[in-house]
Amino acid sequence: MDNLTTQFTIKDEGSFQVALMSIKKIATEFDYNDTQVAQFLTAASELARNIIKYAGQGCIQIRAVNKGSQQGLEIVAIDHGPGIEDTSLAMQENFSSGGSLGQGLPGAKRLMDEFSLASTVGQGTQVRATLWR
Amino acid sequence: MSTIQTPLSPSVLTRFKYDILQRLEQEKISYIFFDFSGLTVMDIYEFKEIENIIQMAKIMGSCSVIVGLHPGVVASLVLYDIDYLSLNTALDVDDAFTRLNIETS
Repeated sequence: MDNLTTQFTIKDEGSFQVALMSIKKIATEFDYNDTQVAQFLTAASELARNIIKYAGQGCIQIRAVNKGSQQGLEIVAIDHGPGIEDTSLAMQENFSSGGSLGQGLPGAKRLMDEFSLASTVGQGTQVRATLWR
Repeated sequence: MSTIQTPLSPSVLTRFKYDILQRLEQEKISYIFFDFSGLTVMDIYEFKEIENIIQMAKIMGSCSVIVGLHPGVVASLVLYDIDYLSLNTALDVDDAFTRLNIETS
């Protein structure tokens, strides 16, 4: 796989499910094992669900990445929603400002090998997460 | 036996919850088997919704057993470190019957 980025617009349940189906195909073709495919997809699901819930719409990008001899797929979730005031608080288990259970972001972090969160209030949020093969 | 083969969207889960509660109201059901063998992904939102349905069923006097969880889903649930040990699970329907027979004998 080359380092092309595939981008999916996330704006409602329909686009969410279409994106997940395509991401499943990408993860399977990347030669992740079944468990890794499920982990990657579940993390993508968490991030896409967060986009719909907090920002209304945004996008998910998937690309192949390398670090030394490691190869993996990276998910980048981008939205231009309200942003997160306290990102460390948002990463705590069971914290939520949106009335949900607040386990989406920390849950996605647990599933992936690398995870970073950047957010600016009033401008949006970007989550970057990688699962090595 | 309750089977879901489609992705667990909020609307699917809401309908699923309504159908289960309606059936439980209409007839005495001792055991519900939730067959999730068709699901390859279950995120935390979906898991918590399923957990809520199981708790509602318990309040209405029914014991739930989840069967057929995909290994990838199991791996993700364990990584989440959520309280999955409170759930009754079995490999498949036959395994569920076997376990219930052992428990009730």
